[in-house]
Amino acid sequence: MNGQNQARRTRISSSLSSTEFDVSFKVMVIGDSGVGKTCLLVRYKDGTFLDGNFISTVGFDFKNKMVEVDGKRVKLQIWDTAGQERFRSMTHNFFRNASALLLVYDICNAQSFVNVANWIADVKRYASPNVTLVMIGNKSDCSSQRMVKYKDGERLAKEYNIVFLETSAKTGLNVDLAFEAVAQELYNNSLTAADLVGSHKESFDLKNYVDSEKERSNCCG
Amino acid sequence: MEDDATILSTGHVTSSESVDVPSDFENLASSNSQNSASNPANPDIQEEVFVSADDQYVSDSALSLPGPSSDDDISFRQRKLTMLMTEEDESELSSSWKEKKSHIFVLTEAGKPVYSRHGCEDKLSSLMGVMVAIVSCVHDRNDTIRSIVAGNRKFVFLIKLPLVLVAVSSALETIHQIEIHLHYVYNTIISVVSLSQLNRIYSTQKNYDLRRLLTGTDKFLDHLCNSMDQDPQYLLRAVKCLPLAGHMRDFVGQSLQQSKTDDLAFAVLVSSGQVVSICRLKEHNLDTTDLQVLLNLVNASATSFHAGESWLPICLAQFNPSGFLHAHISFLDEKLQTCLIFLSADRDAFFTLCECKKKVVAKLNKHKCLEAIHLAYSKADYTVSKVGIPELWHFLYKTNNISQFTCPEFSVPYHNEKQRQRLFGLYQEMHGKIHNPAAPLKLHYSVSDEETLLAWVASGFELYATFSPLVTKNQAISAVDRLLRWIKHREDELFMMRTLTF
Amino acid sequence: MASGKKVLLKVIILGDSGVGKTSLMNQYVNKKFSNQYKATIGADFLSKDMVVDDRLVTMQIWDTAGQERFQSLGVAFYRGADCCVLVYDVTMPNTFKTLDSWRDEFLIQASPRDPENLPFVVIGNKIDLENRVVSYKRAQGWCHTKNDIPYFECSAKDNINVEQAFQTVAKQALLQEADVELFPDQFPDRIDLKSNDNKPKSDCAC
Repeated sequence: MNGQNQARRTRISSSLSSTEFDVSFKVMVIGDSGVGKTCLLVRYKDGTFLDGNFISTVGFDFKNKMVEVDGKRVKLQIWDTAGQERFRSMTHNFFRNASALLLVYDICNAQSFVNVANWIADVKRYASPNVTLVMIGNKSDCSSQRMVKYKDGERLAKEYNIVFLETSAKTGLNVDLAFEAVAQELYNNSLTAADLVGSHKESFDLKNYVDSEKERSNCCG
Repeated sequence: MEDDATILSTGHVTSSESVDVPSDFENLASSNSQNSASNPANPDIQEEVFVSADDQYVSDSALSLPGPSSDDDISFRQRKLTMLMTEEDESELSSSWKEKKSHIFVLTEAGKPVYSRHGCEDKLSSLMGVMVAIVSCVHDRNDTIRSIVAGNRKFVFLIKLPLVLVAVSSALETIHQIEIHLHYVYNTIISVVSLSQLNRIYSTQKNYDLRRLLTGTDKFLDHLCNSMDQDPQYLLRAVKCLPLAGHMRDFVGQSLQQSKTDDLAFAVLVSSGQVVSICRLKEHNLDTTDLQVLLNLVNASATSFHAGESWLPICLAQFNPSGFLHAHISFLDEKLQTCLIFLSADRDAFFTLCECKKKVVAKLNKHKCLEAIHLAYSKADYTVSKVGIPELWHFLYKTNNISQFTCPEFSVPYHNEKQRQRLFGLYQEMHGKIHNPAAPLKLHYSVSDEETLLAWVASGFELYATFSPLVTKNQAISAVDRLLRWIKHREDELFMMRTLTF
Repeated sequence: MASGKKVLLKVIILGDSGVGKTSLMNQYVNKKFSNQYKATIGADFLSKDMVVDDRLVTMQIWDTAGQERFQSLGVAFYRGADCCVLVYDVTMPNTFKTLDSWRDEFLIQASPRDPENLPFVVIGNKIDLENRVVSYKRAQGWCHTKNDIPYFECSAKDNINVEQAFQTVAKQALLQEADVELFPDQFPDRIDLKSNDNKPKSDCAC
């Protein structure tokens, strides 16, 4: 099993320096203010953690990240959104063009978890029906202040039939996995029937992939 | 804000008109120590000379300026407000909070807190209730409260329904100056919510808690309030440009022109908070206040922009208070110093503007502008010694028609924070006296143990100059003349004399 | 620990002078406050923090003077109020009869978005006194006819019911808040650059 995991992992490698790409996708990170959207992105893009005081995102931040999927260069155009109420309508406006949405809540903030339902309602209303949606419970390192149990997140995700994982921008737990899995899914979805002819690739299932790859933090609640 | 010149109304600005230095200064030169009185209010001032704007030479420092009108009812209430600010047994208001020199409060007309510079605004809800009650009492008498002066404290009110802005200051600012500060605070709030949205909400929901729409914006307001205490741009209502060779600035402007696209109103390049160049649609001007609000937002958020590209709705009140422009903000260097801002009327234009940015950067690189900008910034502002007038220690020079100012970096004796703050206070004081609406002055000259100060308002400019205390009047007059020539000679470098259009 | 957003509620206390509004506030807010403003402005202002349904609520309490001469300042006081507490003295029937006009006055001056649902609470004060005149039944009956206003009886010596009264007020006000939706499209005003009226404010520089 491990060997296969290794093989899978090498197919998705990040941090390409060239700006040329074969295909690009728009990805948005959404969720209440303060759940850690920016930290997740900075962890993913730069491999660092934004420690210190909370600095709220102003408006929308945009960054490109190149990853390699099955030997192809994939450009992820990632929107980091401000979770504040006044940007809600503009955020909805951007949903239309997003191929994937990462919906983040904070495991130490029950309200942010309660609001997941509202976010999903907005996604259903404004995003494309085929959008790839991933639910993320962030700050899994803060086990002592945990307010939302792992299984609660899991259950809610199951209810909506979406992929779920817990991450920690601080330790890096599952951060790369979240984005890389999304990249793989988007890439696969973009392949036409003709591309798949003659391919011996196993069919990729986002949920199975994530479920098998994700690590649990020590105190899962 | 009234009386505010736009950044550049149309294309070229002709050189400032020649100033008859001698005649304006005749009164000053002819005054001697016997005529001019020392200022009883301020014993440190040895000599003070005023020349009023209508040229009446007034030597007496006790100008009869109109005092606050007395009104029994109002004064009774104002005593109450003062008492609230000074009482000991109000446990919410700690003594250190009360001792702050400058407070700014924003509340709704229902009395709900929106912002407080110091302290947590919802702990101040009782105080804000009193403020609204006072506003209402005066309103009931078909009047609008503007200010209350109580001892060394000034309470200044700016009513911009549905908002009420109140400043409480025990510093040296005049009421007029404080009002201008409140306008900046107001404009910053409008930049986030827009006037039409604000009015729309409060027309039906008088109990709306505006903080819901302002979450995360405390940093803009805090940064603004701190800047207003020390940055001449808010005192002079003018922006500072990065000193840059004229032809290089033109290259920057031409690079910005490359970004021309539908619905793009303005393109601005800023470095370390100083304007480098602006390109605009012919029919539109970027008002000074709007530009300052925009720059404050960028400077207050620099750390959140994370070297990516940002997209932010912003309402520029002077441009159009009813709608939002959308700002594409990105930094062109690792150190997050040089910032490129596009202002578009199209909220879906982000990716188009990303492409525009590439064109701009390509042209900037072609002319090596970024290196020039970096060099201009890193060699720091010019020092006053460059002017070559040893007795001149510092100055602020504002050119009125294009609303820009220049000043050298601080050097001895203003080389530490305390002295700089003191000097800024002196500039504020001079500015306050010169611009007193009741008795505007043309010239103000005062000598103290520490320095000699001269403030001069002419039709094209304002000058605030600081000299050694030993300078004679004739030396000062001659120095001013030389300084003005020096500035004129370099105006192409010190100011953005022209903005290009798309 | 409260996890939701902070909420600030403007609460107006109305009722004839002498019914004991101030003593009640004294009890409830539990802070030493000096009522120095009432005589001049017409209200004292108090602030009380509480936790309601896991949310931190700050009540900005406007304890009014209850005298006629301040009624001209009604709009300022009542504007933007989230809830209203009506107080009468159980030993003084006149103070009960005026509740109707206080309530009407409030609804006129405050002009709330949804008058039917604006939270009111009635407090019958001074039940510790022996010469009670207004009966519980009568008061409760009146409250029932006014959209079921919650009714509490208390005395200045006993503040347990006062606490409950305010908890109820806050709860009902919060329910109102949940219904308030931000406008669906915050950016409906698109600027048309071609027609944007923006003449330079000062003279042309050339």
